[in-house]
Amino acid sequence: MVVGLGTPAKTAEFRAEMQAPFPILCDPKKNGYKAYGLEKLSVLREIGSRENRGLGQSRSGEYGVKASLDQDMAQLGGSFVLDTEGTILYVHRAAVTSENKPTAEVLAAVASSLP
Amino acid sequence: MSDDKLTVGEQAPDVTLKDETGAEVQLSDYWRKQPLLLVYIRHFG
Repeated sequence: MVVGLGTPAKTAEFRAEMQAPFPILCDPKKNGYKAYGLEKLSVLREIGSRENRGLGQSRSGEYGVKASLDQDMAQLGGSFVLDTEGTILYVHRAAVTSENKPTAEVLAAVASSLP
Repeated sequence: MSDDKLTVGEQAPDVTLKDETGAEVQLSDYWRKQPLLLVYIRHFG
């Protein structure tokens, strides 16, 4: 399940522009974002990272949707795998804007959750 | 990063989120059906 921090309307707009064939939930009050301990951008970490292209991508609209100045540019992403009892099997919290784990690593975590 | 954040083996928070229509949804409604990959994305919000 994909979650963004926009409003429901912005989420619908984003999904349409990205032509995502799956639903996207939203967390405009950051309930989950805070509960799952996701990070906020640190300028020092960002400058020191090789994976620091995310801010430019956000502003340039490289991903199809250009972030506006009323949006939280400091938010960072993350991935979690939960089993059917809600036990956490995998955690990744991005420390810089463009930090993503290899797809194979995430998929392996998903595979481990399957019976 | 602080050390008190959720980690592997702990219970996931059952937070309330919204769908595109604004209807509230409970995260546990998803993980009870099948294992859940939860991905928080950047770029808007």
